[in-house]
Amino acid sequence: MKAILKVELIRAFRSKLMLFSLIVGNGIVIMYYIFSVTKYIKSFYSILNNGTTRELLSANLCWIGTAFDNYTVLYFFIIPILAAIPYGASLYMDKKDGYINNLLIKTDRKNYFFAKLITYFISGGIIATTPLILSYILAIVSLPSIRPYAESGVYNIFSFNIFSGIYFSNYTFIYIIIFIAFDFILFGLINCLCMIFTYWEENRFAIVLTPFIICYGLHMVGQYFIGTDKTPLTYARLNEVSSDDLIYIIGELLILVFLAFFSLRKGKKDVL
Amino acid sequence: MSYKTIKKLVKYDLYWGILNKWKKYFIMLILTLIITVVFIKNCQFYYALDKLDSMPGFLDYMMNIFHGMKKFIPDGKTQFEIPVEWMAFHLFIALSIGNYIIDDLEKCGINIITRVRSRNKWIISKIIWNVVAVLSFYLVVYIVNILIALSITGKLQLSLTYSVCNKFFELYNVNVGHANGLLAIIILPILSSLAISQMQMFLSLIVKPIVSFLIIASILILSAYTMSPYLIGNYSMVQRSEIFMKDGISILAATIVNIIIIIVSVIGSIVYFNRKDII
Repeated sequence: MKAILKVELIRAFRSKLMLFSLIVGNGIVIMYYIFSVTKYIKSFYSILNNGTTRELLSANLCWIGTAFDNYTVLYFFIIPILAAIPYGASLYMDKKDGYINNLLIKTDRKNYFFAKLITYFISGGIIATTPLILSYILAIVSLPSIRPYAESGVYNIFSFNIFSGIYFSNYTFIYIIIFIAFDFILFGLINCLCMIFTYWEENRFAIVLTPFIICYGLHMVGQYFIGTDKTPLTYARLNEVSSDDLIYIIGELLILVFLAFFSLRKGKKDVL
Repeated sequence: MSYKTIKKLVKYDLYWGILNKWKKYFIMLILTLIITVVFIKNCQFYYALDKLDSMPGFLDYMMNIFHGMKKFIPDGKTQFEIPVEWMAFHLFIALSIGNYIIDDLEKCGINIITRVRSRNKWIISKIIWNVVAVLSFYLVVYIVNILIALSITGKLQLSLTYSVCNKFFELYNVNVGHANGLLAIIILPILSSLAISQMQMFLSLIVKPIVSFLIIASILILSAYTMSPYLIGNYSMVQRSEIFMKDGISILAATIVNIIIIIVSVIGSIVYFNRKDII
């Protein structure tokens, strides 16, 4: 199990497509820093010079996770595609070029599919969260990481949002860690959808786009019926989640976990 | 250039790229049906509450799909909502155009090119397929909406309903001439889709189809967020046209830019494909 997992992780992370996804994701964050954060800093200092503000510009406000900008919108919209690009079609390609046949002679079928699932999860999570970590690092090296105060009204987090108590405390970094960990789990699980759809879809392009199609489809259904704040494209930004939505989000995550394990079951039954 | 060969190639592409992919057109039919039925249900709800003067007609249904969104001003209070109908329609076309050309090239394209002894004929056939595929999607949308309009209202109303536009699209300037309104609602989205699809096909020759889809999806979401003539998604949003919005996108400029994009993409595809290492 350990050996096959190592092989799969190397296959996922030592690929040009992984480099591409990381460059695009981190590139958006760097562009956000250059074009937006510097603009915030300039406008903040102009207000500060006039003496019209009592709130210091905080790193906790200016990182891409809780900020609101065209780069933020773009980033959270394309993450499902970016996360699936390097490894999304891996199982399909293994089946297509016969690699799986050679491998299953030497290793246990269960171990192979489990290693695949873990790699789907980790690769999706890493691609989604590396830019968030970079953005936070860029923010804290250039701005004071002061404690946010709800009274200032400049933060995009309100009392009805989950973990707002932690955010508006001396331990804001714990909120940031929860935010990043949540996105890691969310996009890791969403990336696992590629594996299950490999059994039904015969088109590499469609398999890689499955997570995005499902996320967008849910967003569209959400717009009509339950509200877009209960769909992954919105709640990937944890600061937009209100306490009332929590039950829906937990439900959706449980469905994703179920589907991930269901793909293992499908794998076991797969006739090669 | 033998037109007979191109005709045969186009016939092949229309069969494998459109007829054989009828499921995609069926999904588009269902998508259109859902969008329009939900819209009508919403209208009925407001009509019952006396918040609408009259029920919507054919052009309002089309407007509902292609209106996009008004200019978004990030003031920190207004939440950005993706214009789902508009985005779904364009994303679905991008998804369907997707990897057909590269898939075909990898499967039997090289054999066909060897057989017809011309790369130009093959790529021209794909360009024609692209145009027909996009127009077919629009045809599906039009047929569905025409049938719904005829079955509900009994007529094909070619004017916008003021109260519907006011309530659902926040448009207060709908007293425009029919010609301009029709041009913005019917012609511009088609022209924009043709430009976006040709660009996507050109990009998929240069980079992988998935990357070209990523670029198109990024352009579409940025177009929704930012109103800029540099983001071509804006041209297909009827609500941002100069007819419905002060300082909106000029119809003439949108038409010219779309035509330029189509010409550049077509020429780019032909030139690049002739130099591309396909073996």
